[in-house]
Parts: sequence; C-alpha cells; structure tokens
Amino acid sequence: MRIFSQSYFSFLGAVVLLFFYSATTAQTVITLSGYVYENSSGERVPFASVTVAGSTKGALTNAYGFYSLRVPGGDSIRVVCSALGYERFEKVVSALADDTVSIALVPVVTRLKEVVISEKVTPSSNLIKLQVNALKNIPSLLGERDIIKSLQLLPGVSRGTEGFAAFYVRGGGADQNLILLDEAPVYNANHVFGLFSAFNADAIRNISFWKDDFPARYGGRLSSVLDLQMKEGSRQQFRAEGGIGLTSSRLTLEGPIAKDKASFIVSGRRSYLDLIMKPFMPDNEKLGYYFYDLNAKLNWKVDDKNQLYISAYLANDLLSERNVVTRKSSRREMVDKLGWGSTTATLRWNRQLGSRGFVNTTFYHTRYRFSMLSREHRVTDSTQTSENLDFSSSVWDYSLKTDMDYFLSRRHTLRAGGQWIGHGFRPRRYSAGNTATGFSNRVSEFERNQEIALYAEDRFTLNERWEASFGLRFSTLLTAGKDFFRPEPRLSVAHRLPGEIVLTTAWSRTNQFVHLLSNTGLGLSTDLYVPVTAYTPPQQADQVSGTLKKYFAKPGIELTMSTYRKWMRHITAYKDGASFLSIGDEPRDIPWQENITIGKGKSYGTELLLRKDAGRLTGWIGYTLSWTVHQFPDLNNGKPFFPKYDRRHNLSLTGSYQLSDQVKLSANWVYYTGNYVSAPYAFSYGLDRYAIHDYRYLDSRAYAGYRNSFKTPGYHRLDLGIQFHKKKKWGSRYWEISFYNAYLRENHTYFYIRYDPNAVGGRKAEIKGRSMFSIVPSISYNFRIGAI
Amino acid sequence: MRDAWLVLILALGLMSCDPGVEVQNVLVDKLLSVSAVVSPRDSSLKVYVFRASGLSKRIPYDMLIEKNARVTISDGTREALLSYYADTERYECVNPFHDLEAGSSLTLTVQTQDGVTATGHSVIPPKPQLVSFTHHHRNDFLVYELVWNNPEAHKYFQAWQSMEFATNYYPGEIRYLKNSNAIMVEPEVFLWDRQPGGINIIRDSVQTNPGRVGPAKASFTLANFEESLWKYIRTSSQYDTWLTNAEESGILPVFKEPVDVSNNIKGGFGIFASYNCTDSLIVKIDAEPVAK
Repeated sequence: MRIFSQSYFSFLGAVVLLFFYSATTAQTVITLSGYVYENSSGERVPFASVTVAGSTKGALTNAYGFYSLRVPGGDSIRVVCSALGYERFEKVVSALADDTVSIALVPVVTRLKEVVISEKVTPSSNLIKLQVNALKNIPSLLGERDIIKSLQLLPGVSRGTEGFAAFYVRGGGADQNLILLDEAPVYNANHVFGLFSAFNADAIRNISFWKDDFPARYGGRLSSVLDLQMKEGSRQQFRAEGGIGLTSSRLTLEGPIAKDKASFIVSGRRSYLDLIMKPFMPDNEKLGYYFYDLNAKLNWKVDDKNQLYISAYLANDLLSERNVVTRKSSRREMVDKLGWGSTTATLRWNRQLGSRGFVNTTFYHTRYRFSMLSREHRVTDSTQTSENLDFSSSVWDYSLKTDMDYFLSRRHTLRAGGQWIGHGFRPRRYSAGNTATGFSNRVSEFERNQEIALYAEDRFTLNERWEASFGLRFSTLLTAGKDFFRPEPRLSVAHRLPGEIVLTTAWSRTNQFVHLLSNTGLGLSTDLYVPVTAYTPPQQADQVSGTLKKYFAKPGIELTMSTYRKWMRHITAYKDGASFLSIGDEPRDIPWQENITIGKGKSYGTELLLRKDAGRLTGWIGYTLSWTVHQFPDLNNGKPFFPKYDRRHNLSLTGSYQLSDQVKLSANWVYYTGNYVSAPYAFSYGLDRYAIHDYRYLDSRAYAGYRNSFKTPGYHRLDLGIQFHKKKKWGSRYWEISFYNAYLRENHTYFYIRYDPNAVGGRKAEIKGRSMFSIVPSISYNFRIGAI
Repeated sequence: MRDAWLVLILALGLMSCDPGVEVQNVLVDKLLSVSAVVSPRDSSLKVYVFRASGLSKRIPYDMLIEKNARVTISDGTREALLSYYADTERYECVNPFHDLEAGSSLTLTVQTQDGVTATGHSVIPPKPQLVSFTHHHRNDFLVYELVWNNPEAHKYFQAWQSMEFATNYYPGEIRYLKNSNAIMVEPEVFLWDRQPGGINIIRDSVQTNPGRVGPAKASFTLANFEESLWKYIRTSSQYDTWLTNAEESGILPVFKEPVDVSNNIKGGFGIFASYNCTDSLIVKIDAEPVAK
C-alpha cells in the first residue's frame, strides 16, 4: 500500500532545504526573551507584539505570553511592546549579550484615549483574535453574554436556527468546529438546548479563532478552531466580578495564593428559573429547569523557567419533573429527568528552554454526557412495585500532548509536538426494568479508539516581503476493525505589499475522527457522537483560501478580504426517514451504521471584514457571499442539494460607542438571506399510517419535492444596548439594559403546513412560519470589586 | 488597495461560474399523489390516485381525485389493469399475483390523459416465520413471551399486522426485545426497525382487567415490511406528531425541524410498497388471572 505520495516527499524536501539555507546564512545576533504580562494581575498576555524601536521586525508572544527576539548586538536598544487594550511599553536594554526582559503592560483604562503605536509586528496569519471585553458590549439574548453567538457575527460564520448557539463555519457542520478550553476539547457547549453557549465570558481571557490557515498543532476537526484560554487569576490582589441578570447570575473570584507565585480563579454561573417557579408549584408536582457552569484554575510559578496550571470546567443542564399522586390506599410517584453536561480537566506544565525554547506539556480529560431517566414507584396496601427506564449517551477523551516552540533564528520559528488521545464512546446505554412483571433489559454499547498525532511546522521569513509557514501533521486512528493513517499538510505563504497590506494564500488538509449524528441539525444536546469505523471513515477536508489584509494608518482599523474553496469528503447524514433518538421517542436498538449515509460536500465564498478595535467607536462590519452544496448517494436521489444552513448573503454590523466614561451604547444589526429547508410546496391525499390496517383511511399528504428547495424569507434583526458605568470606592459597577430584536421583526424559527378544513370552497393548505423571539428586553446589574 | 479590489472581483467572478445546485421540482399541475400497499394475501389490488394542489388554494377533495388515469401493476410477465370505482374512489382489480414468491418485483404505472406518468417499484418481502407464544400470570399481569426467528439472509422491517388480547386484559405497551425495541405508533401498530437475523424475543405483560370477562385468548399476526413502507408509516407518524405540536404551539417542534414524509414514487409522490405476513396465531390462555 502506498502511504506517501511523491508530492509529500517533495514538500518535505523543500522544507529541509529552506531550513538549512537560512540557518547557514544567519548573522551574529543576541537573543532577548521573556514573558509579557499584565502589570495589575500578573496574567500573561498572548499575541503581543515585541519589537525594537524604529523597526517593525520583531516577534509575537505565544499563547502563554512568551517571546524570543533575535536582534543585532550593540550597546543598547529600545524594546517596544504593544498589545490591543494596553498602553505602549518601552524600555532601553543592553544588547551586549543574551538577556531576559520581562514586560509589564498597563491596561488602557478608558477607550476614549487612542494609543498610537508605530512599531509593531503585523501578523501574517489568518488568526482572528477577539477581545473578551469587546464581546461583553454586544447586546445579547436575555442579557446572557455569549462568546459563540458573538462569533456568529463574523463573516464566514453562520448561525443555525434563530436563537441557537450552534455555528457553522464556511459550510461545515456544527460538529466540525474544534472548541478548546485550556487545551481540552469541549464536545457540546450548549445550555438550554442550545439557546446559550456554556462559556462564562468572565472566566475567559483569550479567544483565538481560525477558519483556515490552520496551524499544524491543531487537528481533529474540519472547519474551524476556537481556542479559549481561561484567565489565570490575579497574582497581585483579590478581585471579584459578577452580574445579576434575568435568567442567571454569575460570580468570579480571583486572587493570589502566594503573591507573584501562585493564584487562583473560580467563576460560576447559575440560572434560577427553577427557584423562581418553586413557590408557585403544588406540593405534589415539581417541574424545574436549571443550568450552571463552573470554571476553576490554579497556577503556580515554580521558578522563572517553570509554571504549572490546573484548570477545570463543569457545565450541566437539568430538566426534571416529579409528580406524586396519593390516594387512600395507594401512592404513585413519577420522576422524569433530562440532563446533559460537559466536564474538562487540564494539567499543564510550561517550561522555558534557554532563551529560545518553550515547551508546554498537557494532560487533559474531557467528557460529554446526555441522559434521560424515567421512574415510577407504586405503593398499595399490599404491593410495592417500580418501573424504570434510563438512557444515556456519552463521549470522552484522555489525552497527553506536548508542544514545543523554538525561536531558531530571525527567520525561523519552529513548532513541533505530539499528542495521544484515547477516545471513548458510549453512543447508547439504557436499562429498563419492571418489578411487577420481573422484566429487565439492559443494553450498553461501548467503543474505544486511539488517536496519535505528530506535527512540525516552521514559520519562515525569507525577507521583508515574503513569509511562509510549512506544516505537516500525521494523524493516525487505531480502531478495533481498521486503522487510518492520514497525513495533513498545511501551507501558507504571506506577501507584504506596500501600504501595510498582507496577502496570504493557504492550503490545509484536515481530518476528523468523530461523527455527529443529528436529528435536527441544530447542534442540540440530543445529538449523538459516534466513532469512526470501517463503515464510517474519517471526515476529510481540503481548503484553499486567499486573504488580503489592509492595516490602516489609524490604529486598530483593519480590512480583511478572503476567498475560499473547501471540499469535504466522508461527511455523514441520516438516511431519509431514519433517526436515532429524538425527544419524545423511546430509545431503540438501531444499528446506527445502517441508518446513515456517507457523502461529500463543497463550499466556496468570499468574505469581507472591516474591524475597528480602538477609540470611542469599536466594532466591525462583516459580509459573506457563499455557497455550500452536499451530495449523498442515499439522499435526494443522489442529486446535489443545498444543506439547511446554506445562506447566500450574510451581513452584520456590530458597534459599541463610548459616549462618556459613564455611558456606553452598543448595537448590532444582522441580515441573512433565507436558508434552504424542505417545506411543502404542494399537498394532496394518500394512505395514512394505518395503511396495513385500514385501507380506507386517507389523510392529507404534503410534498416538499427536491430536498431543501424552499427558500425561507430573509432574516434581519437589530439589537440595542446601553450601559451605565459608575466608579465606586470598592471598584465599579454598571447597569445594562438591552433589547434583542428591537424592531420586532418576525424571524421564523421553523415552517409548517397548516390546513384549514373549514375553508369555504374546499380545503386550503398554507405554509406558516413560527417565530420564537419577538422583542426580548433584559436588564442586568454587573459589578467588579477591586482595581482593574 | 486597487490590487485588493481586483483580487475580490476576480474571486467573485470565479465563484459565479458555479451556481451550486439546480433545483428540479415537478410543477404542481403535473404532480400526482399515488398510494398503494399490496400483500400476496390480498384478494384485490387497490390504488389511490390524486392530483396535487398548490398551497393557499381552496380545492375540494373530489376535484383532486384523478378518475381517468391508466393504472397498471406488472410483475414483468403479467400486467393487471385497474379500473376506477366511484364508490371507493380508487382503482381496483382482482389480485392476479397470489402466487408471487418473496423477492418478486412489482411495478406500478399511472398515466394520465394529459401525459403525466408516475411509477413505483416494490419487491415482495419474505413471509416471516411463525411466532411462538408462552405465558404465565404474576400479580395482576399476564406475562408473556413471544419468540420468532429471522433468517440471517433477510433483515426485514417488521410490524404486528395485528396483536389482540382478549377483552379481559388492558392493552400493554411493548418495550423489551432481545434484538430490538418497538416503536408504538398507536396502540395497535407496533413497528420495529430493521431486524437482525436470529431469534427475536419479546417479554412483556398486559394488565388484567377484573371488571371485564371475555374469552381467554390472544392472537398475533406478524408482517415483514419493505423498507420504504416502514419509512412511510414511521415518517407519516412523526410528521403528524410534529404537525400537531406545531399547530398547537407545543414545545417539541421548537427543537425539531419538520419531518419529510418518505416517498418512493417517481414523477410524483406517495408510496407503492408491499408486505408479507404470517397466518394469525391464535393462542388460548390456559389459566385465569390469580384472584385477589
């Protein structure tokens, strides 16, 4: 079997040649290295620009705030550091020998002041970095700050059904997004069946998002990478931050354990619908729903070279109902529960290797579990019986990985590493029993496989104009039935044009070793993860993209134009009429492999993004023109069709304006052309579901025709928000009032056919849309105790 | 920036060369709804044919009945011509295919006078093997066990064509199977998804009804379905449930997209499929429930 094609060897050869060429031509230089951190908290600042005064050559800090800068030796140089949201930093240092220079950045207290930075490193990758504080200004449904819904406002990112947090990147499915929280993947990040994402923005420090140009260190999903880093907790002082909203409240506590050595952060959020309903429920009936999430992190600076982090995340939702019926001679108790939740735990060790190397080693565990429970207990004078039905589905990973950054020279930054992941799947486990009849039944499916990945990449600076990044990731999946070996080349070339314009072209291949079976396409908690098998091979995608970025002279303004084309293979879908589990169904013994079909897809489009991240007015304008096409042999007679979340145009305007130190206004407006769904376009009559029992019984039959051929009306919505800030002796507070869907647009959540049997002159069928959200006002109180 | 705009225009130009999908839908006035379910045991063949109506139009039911079509069912060598009967509002003829073996194909063709043609194709599934029934009484329940065997070579969808207990038992809910769980569409319709080969066992119970007295017996008829028929019944049921919730603002449709009713008619929509069932197994229940 031919594993490597000739092109892979050619590619590897080119990398090796370029590496030796530049290494042998390197000059004598010194190395400045160290960490960039926030002065008030001691938290490290990722992706900060570190350079030498009068130059735009320099380095960006890595995800842990570490930098290594090679500069020509001399008497002294002036180091300049800048990062969005911080004051410019300058320091004169000796350049006679290698040195460690720690950089403490001061946060910009008010956005009224614009910080002008002339020396900075212009990133050449397509990484989209979002500021958590900026996202907190975006008005949101019921005032729940939502990182993932904020992403839906970016070009190339599409939302699904109105109000839901699932997101679709460049035609990919909801499962094709790698969501990492402190290095651990989160399989399902939803609260309230997907209405809110399960991340508390108060606990998040850094948001990095890739739609293409994926670094080789990321793998396992086809369409995007969302890398979230939790805050580390202030090493200088205790702080508290929180908020009280209509649906939930949140509280974050952070502070030093040992000053400048160790710190902690604990952040929690809980809804209280169940607590509000409790007094109004009769004693014998309890119906409740709640969700909560909890983030916790400890970090310990062992010495100047070593740092340890322990972080954990727990998110759960529970819908429960309990009924008790008591009669003179009997008592009957019924309990139903529906719950789901994610757990992650991460242990990380950062080690600095000399002045140029940095290693991060991580062990993590992640788990997602969905469960349903139904119990009935009956007691009479003479008997005591019970009946139960439990169902659960879960997926979990254990992983050990190590990533090394090595700043080899001014031309080369090397990254390499490896990862082992043990995947566990329990797609269905259920048990049922009835003590009255003595019946019991138990079914449990369990599958396990192992993923091993090795990668290396080199960011190579040829000269002032040209940069390239070569990466190769080898991913292997070992399963009981068949092993899969998948090389994943990654390549990007950046060309700097005059006028602060960077043109990047990228090609990446990605593989996905897990499938999501979805009844709804909504990314709901009831969707089930299933493993790769011989019958369901890994999903694979190739994407080519071209991106043009213009950095304007006015700070914080950039324009990005991207065009892409993506080919997806081995994507999965249910066959027509098949489903695995849906709300209201009993669990069933269905061999899931026989009910799915394997197909392919492609997507292509062009995106525009104009961002302004500094000054009184911040925000962005995003526009996407895109197409997505799917084709499955067992669907739509094998003909291609537009999937449900294909939208032709997508426009979003997001803005925040700081009127004064006390008042901040915000708004966002979105417009999407209608998506494509299957909805009836004709109706008639035919045999109904009792066909084999009573052949005379006819019913109305609706016909949708070509799959997803009904285009829904366009969607648009305006959200408004206003914040009133006030400084207090103990810190600061602000009130926020927001209006979701401020002009009461009726955007349809779903469509159905409605029959009017009483219509004069014959039966009439109409297609109707139902709207879930009219205007949704909300108010919240937010506070921070302690200095920024 | 001029270069940037050139790149963008070039990208847009390249993309417009690929429109993605060409949707092909039959015009409403050329659309037929055809439905027929056949079994080798049937004495007659019966086919319903309707015209379709567009949405938001008021059209009486009888105006949609297609009365002048040529409707035939063929097994490749023989062809049965069905005639329209006004009293039953469908096409019928005597079933000439009693002798067809499992695996035989039938083709339904409907041709209207204005040139519309719709066709359906069906393959007769094998007759399931007979079911054995054992039972005993426990507390207020009749506890029973039903066993039947599916050959490895035939993984067919199955349902109880009939399942009746005598009047002194409440109808039960069947949940527990060795190989498969039932979906109870309605109290009298149990559907099973594709069955694995081997022995299938149901162990369940029905509660006795002391207030009723009747003959102590039960009867069962098991049917093998074509996959298309199973999906038609299953998705019809799902769609009806969804629609009820949608019209009554229930909570379920909020979380579910509409279900497409499965169709297998080319040139139209509806169902043409077959099933095959056992002779009725009538079982005498040999002991009365234990009196309290």
